[in-house]
Amino acid sequence: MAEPGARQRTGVELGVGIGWRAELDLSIERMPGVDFLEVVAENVRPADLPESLRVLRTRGLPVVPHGVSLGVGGAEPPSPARLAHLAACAEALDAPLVSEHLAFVRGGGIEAGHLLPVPRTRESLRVITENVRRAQDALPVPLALENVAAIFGWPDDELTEAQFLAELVERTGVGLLIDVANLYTNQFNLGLSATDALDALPLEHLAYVHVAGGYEHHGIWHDTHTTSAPEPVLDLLTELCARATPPGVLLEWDDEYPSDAALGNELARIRAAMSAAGEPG
Amino acid sequence: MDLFLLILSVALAATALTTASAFKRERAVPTTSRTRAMGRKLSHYEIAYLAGGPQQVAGTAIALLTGSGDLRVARGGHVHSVHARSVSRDPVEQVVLATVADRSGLTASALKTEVRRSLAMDELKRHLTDDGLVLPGDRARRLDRLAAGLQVVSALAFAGVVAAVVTVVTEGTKPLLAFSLIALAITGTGAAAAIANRRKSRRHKLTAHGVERLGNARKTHPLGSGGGRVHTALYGPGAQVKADLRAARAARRPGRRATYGGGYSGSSGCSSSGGSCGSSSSCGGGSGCGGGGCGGGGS
Repeated sequence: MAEPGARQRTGVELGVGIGWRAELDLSIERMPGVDFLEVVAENVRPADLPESLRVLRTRGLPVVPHGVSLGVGGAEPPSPARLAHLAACAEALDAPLVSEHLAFVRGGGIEAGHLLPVPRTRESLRVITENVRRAQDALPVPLALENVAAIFGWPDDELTEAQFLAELVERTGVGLLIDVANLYTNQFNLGLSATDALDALPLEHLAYVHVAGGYEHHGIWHDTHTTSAPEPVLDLLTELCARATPPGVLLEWDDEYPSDAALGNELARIRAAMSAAGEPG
Repeated sequence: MDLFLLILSVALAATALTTASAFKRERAVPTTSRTRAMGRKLSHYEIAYLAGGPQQVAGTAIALLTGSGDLRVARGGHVHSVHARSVSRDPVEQVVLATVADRSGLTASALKTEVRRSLAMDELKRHLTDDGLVLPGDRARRLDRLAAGLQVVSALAFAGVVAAVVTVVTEGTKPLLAFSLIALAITGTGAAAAIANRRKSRRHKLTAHGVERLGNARKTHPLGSGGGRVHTALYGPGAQVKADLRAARAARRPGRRATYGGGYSGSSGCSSSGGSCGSSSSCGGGSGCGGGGCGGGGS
């Protein structure tokens, strides 16, 4: 179980990384300039880790289990079985932290199939604070929560996403996984200023950052993780780096994988965007 | 018994010679085809076909497309498509890319099976057959039948050898018996050697001219001479790495000067292949490739 101190910042320098996917295993093993990895926790069995992850761990690369189905944003407490799986992944991978989403994924036994935004009310904050604390208590390493990409907002929201996350961080000490592509998506689709969000977020609790690409279709931005990150997303990374030094920045690519060279180029673009703010990259 | 063995030895030797002659005839090709094939350079996929048939062509295409970043092979031998890849004009490569685009994650062996059965492969074979390099299907079948006959000749000859030896032991050596024994032994061994040679090579699928062109390609691109397209076509994707490893091991063996076996020695295998030596951890730092090139003595 995490000690109270472990609830605080992760304090781990990660560097620039890429999301590990089975299709990319050998590509990632060969790829220069990869400092850390993230693996979707639901896709691995802790007792039988993929050979590639074992190889990469042997080389000393940190691997962060990234959950997508815990649902700390729901009204119900997080499932002990899901938490146990996340904990087992963290231990099997000797992970420095675990990340999840500040999202609502199921209710009344029905799975949404999406990472839906949480209602940002004081009442909701109280419930989610309790859920996060339960999760932190069940995990052997610090937890970081990611802002999600939304295509709608709840009508009775009392707080912005940044205010909500700031309150949650203050109450629980949970780390922040800031997805700049999600900030861009919310700005594009809902008119929520990404830079205002960066100004309001407690970036001193930043665990790491996600970068990804998507595309616009019929006036809506789809955060698909299947294309090169557009310049506005990288500009947001630069904006973030101008405000805080991210311990890690990770490229997410989930389908329609390009060549190794194109993925390497994407990592170089991320480093360049960090450098533009004076970060070493 | 002596007379029977004599008749048997003569009959089997005559059958073996007739079969060998029929073999030669079947592998001969019309002069027009030979001339047409002689006048042009073979593509690396045609050379792969001569070297190992459709399986070798498919393996070569997968290896080359992976090397160019147009395919991705993951652990477990799963082959995945690469988005926004380049467009190939080669029909075999088009089949590989289309199959993987349709079923990304197919194992390499399943993909090779698909490519082997493709129309592009049939077309490649037809082209090589028309050029007199690969035997047409009916001729290959006739050669199979002749080979089966040769197998029977070999078995009978060895049975005759046993009978002759028993006769020599029981009745003593006689000139006719000795002649029969020698003739049967030569016939049996020759036929067995011909069958074994045919089994271990693809020569029975190729015309004499096809064998000649394949031999020329191997002379020009000996094993270990670099990881280029023709080398991959001739020896398979992993051949260069294996050759490098063998060379490195030979160079490290104490008290022995490494020659790297024919084509490797003194060739530009190291410098020209680039990735095979320069970036391979199997070679880097070893005395086989590090620093002084490939031709120098190791140890």
